[in-house]
Amino acid sequence: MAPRAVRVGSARFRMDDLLQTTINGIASGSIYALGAIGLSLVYAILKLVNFAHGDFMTLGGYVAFAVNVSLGMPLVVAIAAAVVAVAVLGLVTEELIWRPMRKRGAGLMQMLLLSIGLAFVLRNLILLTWTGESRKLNVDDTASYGIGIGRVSLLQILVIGIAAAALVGVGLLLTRTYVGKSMRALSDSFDLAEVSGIDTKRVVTYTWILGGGLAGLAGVLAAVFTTLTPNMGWTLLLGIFAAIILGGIGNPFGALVGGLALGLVQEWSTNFVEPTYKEAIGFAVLILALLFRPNGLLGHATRTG
Amino acid sequence: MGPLLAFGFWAYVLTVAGIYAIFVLGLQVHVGDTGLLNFGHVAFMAAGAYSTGLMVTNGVPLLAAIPLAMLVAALLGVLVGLPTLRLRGDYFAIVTIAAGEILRIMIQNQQGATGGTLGLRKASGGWPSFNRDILRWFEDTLGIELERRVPLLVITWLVALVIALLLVRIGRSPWRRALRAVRENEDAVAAAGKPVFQLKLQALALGAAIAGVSGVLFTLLQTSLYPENFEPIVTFVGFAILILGGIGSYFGVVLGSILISFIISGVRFLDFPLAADKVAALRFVVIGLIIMAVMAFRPQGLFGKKEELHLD
Amino acid sequence: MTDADTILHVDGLARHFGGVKAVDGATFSVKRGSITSLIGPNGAGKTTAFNLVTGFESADAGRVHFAGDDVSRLRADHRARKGMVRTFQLTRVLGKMTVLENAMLAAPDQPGERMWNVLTPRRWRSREAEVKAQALEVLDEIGLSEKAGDYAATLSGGQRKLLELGRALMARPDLMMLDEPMAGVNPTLGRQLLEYLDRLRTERGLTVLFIEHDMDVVMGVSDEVVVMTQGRVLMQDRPDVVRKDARVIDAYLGGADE
Repeated sequence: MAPRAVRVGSARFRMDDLLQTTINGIASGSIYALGAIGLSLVYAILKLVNFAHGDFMTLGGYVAFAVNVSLGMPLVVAIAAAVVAVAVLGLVTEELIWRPMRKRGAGLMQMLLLSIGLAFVLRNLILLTWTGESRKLNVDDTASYGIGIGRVSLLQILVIGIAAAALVGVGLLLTRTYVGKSMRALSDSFDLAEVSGIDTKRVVTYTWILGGGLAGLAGVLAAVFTTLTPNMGWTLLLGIFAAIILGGIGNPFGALVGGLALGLVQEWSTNFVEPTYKEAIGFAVLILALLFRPNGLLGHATRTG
Repeated sequence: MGPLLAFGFWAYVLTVAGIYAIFVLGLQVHVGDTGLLNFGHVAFMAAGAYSTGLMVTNGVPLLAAIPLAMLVAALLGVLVGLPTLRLRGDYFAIVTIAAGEILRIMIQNQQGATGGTLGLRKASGGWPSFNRDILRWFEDTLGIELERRVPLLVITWLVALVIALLLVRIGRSPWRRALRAVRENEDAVAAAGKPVFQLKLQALALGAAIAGVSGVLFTLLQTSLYPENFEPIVTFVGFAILILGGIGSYFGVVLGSILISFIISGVRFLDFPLAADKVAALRFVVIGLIIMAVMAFRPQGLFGKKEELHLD
Repeated sequence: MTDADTILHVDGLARHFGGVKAVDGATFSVKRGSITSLIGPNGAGKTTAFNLVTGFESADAGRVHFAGDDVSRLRADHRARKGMVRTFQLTRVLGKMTVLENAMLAAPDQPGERMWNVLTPRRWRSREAEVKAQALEVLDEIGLSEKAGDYAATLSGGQRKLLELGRALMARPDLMMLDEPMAGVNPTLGRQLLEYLDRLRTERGLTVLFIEHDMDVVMGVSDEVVVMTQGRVLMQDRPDVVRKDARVIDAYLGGADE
């Protein structure tokens, strides 16, 4: 079947390009979404805008690299190791930094700037340990399968499949389990949840395990899908923030929608403009969206007074 | 390393410190005075730098280009502010980084005009030859042989001083009282009948124009401009300076910029038993630790007033 | 609709939050030079009504006329400059500024608040001196002159209420809208304040609209009472009429269950 070409501006726009960019968009959108859900949970429950979240992801990628390439273990083991390592990192920073700071009554900005400091430290410790050379995980990045008029690569299947499974898991966890419901109660009102007998300390622990674990997973998937450098997470972080804001801050489901929307818009834009502009397009969409919905796509105007 | 070379190197580090000081004075107007958490400040520096570079490479005299570059930076401030200043603080922070990245990516992609990643060469226009004239004048008339970086070093710090003094003078005005009130509580300011949005927009434009000046001086220092000079990290180094010196303190900005510039550029000069890229990483670990330590133990910075600290 | 005697007329004002109708078609008016109180059980929509009238929240429907002008589309600060000045139930003091600065902020017509005048103090220095004198006077009236140089963050809850009232007075309002001004203020001072407001009414023709829960205060000082329940205005009349109305008594008893 001969592809039908339509002229849009100077670019050739074709149906199979649309399909291809849609698959790409879902894959990169899934990575944004995984990163965004973790970041959004931490923000919703702990009121922490964690600028180190991207570097948490990077660390996940490098732990997977160490296990998968340096030690030669299978990818599954590497993923598990990355998830556990970043969850532990989350818990350690909670014990050493965030909880003591909350106890001292630190404000939102103070915590935010602290997390920027932590981001610097993590990123450059990673650089010291693994150098700035770009790395690849041991996955066959040439295998691909034809579907209809497009092709889907093994990497895309891996990323979309794992992300979808994780997202369904998180969705079930948040809506069906006691821990998940407690998390949502805490995100509505920390104090109220505490008075109503929810063990807030335990919920905070689970939040870091979940948020950190998702960051670790997102980091591995990003490393599989793109290339692994010490700046990987930081570069993704802005997109992740964009996804969260698009979806409405503090709403994990909004983060999912925002992530996918951002991934799709970025990839679709490559049908019309140079791919080097795709990040800029993503941010422009964010700014435009906020003009019309200042509280995000799924955000509600909150009642004051 | 001979002593003369070493002096030239320190002159360079101190010039960079002065440029950072100006950059952060602009940031202080946003963050310290008005409470605008501007994480895209580097965009205004880039606007100042690239508009200077583009004008002089297209035949505009440098002296005419400088005020225009400031104007361009201020206008960019207005352009960024119009859609974003009504947003909540945390949204504003993220959206300003995004705006800065959009600008950088555009500069990178408009290769025909900006040279893209290959750089914009001869961006400082007539400055190098003017600098040579200054050096020759000193040698011929006064018999003093100046290091070639000294004139810019002196100019940079004079400009920093003038801007700081102007800001101190502005600091006593009812306008800045209204800005500080915006920083504290926008509702209270609106209830008092003050135009919150305009005040924020004016502060954003003023701070952006100041950052534009730092961009001009950066152009004179580097001669060639590259998009990677204007990555978000520059803004965060600016925040490190602001935090270290003290949010709200102009004097703190000056000292903070010297300290941080020493850490960034200065450690290169010390003898480390490590490879160059490792040293580079190490200094940002140190900057990160400084930010964390100041935020944890002295959130008002070295010179900020605890009562006026506004990090909440 | 509006005549010279009416300073504020609110018509069919509505605001919904998700499915909740916080204000649902409220209509009432305030007579020039009167002290009018706005009462109603918790959740009746009084504070939201205040926010809508003053422009701090945007209304889904309805109009607000102030001093004969339709101000429905104006921003909050513009409405305040027209003479409609409010205080907040949860005080909005500027904690990291001094008490004096808090009061001085609200003074109108200060050319030094324009950006291009900042470097020419001769254009605003004399006005600044006037403003300072006025602010000290107002602080004296509200019993805060001793605190003038302190950071507002150091004030107690009651003192913050007073400071906010003082700041509102500095703005030279025609209509003063106070959201629970007496909450947390000691009763003696509260009475002094009421007397002060009453004096301003006679001297300056100030109109006062206030939300209050203390029925003794409401019935004692109000010329008129507006009763809200479930986002609507139940009635508006003289205090002695309102006090006897069966619907009002009902609304309060019904409201107690919420």
